Amino acid sequence: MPLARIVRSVIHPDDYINRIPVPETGGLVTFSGIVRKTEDGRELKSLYYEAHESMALKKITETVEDAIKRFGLLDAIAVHRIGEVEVGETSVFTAAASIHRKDAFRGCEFIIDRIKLDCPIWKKDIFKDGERWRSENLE
Amino acid sequence: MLLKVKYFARFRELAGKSEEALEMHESAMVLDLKRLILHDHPLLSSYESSMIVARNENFARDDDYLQAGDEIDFFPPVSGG
Repeated sequence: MPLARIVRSVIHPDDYINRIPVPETGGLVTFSGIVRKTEDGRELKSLYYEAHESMALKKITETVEDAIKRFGLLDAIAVHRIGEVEVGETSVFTAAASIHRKDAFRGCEFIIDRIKLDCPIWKKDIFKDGERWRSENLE
Repeated sequence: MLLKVKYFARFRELAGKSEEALEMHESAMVLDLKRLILHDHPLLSSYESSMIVARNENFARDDDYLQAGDEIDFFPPVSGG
């Protein structure tokens, strides 16, 4: 069963990985987006995430369901945190489980790419000396 | 007709509010509402070309017609992840 969540507390990947179906799974690929300490050479304190929650959850749900169909996954997970996320903490976690590894790699990449592309979530850089909204995903 | 308008992220800060109720004429389209909010909140003008609009939680186009009671959301390009 695919899992899509928007959460306000710390993401612990193990809480989600434990639900991957065994022994059918032969490959599990996970991605953790982590708040790094610098952005454009400036020192970050944290990132602040805001979402259009109902639209974002719908979009994340559609994305994991789509990934399962496209890549024949056994399971898929996407969790995005909102609110203030400190440096070193996980802001987004995605996972894809499949019989063989290639589908899991492709599925996991598809999910995070799609979330960054069209999910109504925005981040604001909270620097030690100021703040600014990130205008769009350029990575 | 009365519409519920919401602003998100940077738009919320530039508009100085997260939502408001706006009165529009019957047969108004998304583009008409966009012009009204840009007039009321000129700080949003620099985002005119990149502004994303959702009508009742579905992405909307400028030529979509509005109906009384619609919720229209305005937001900037996404930057999650």
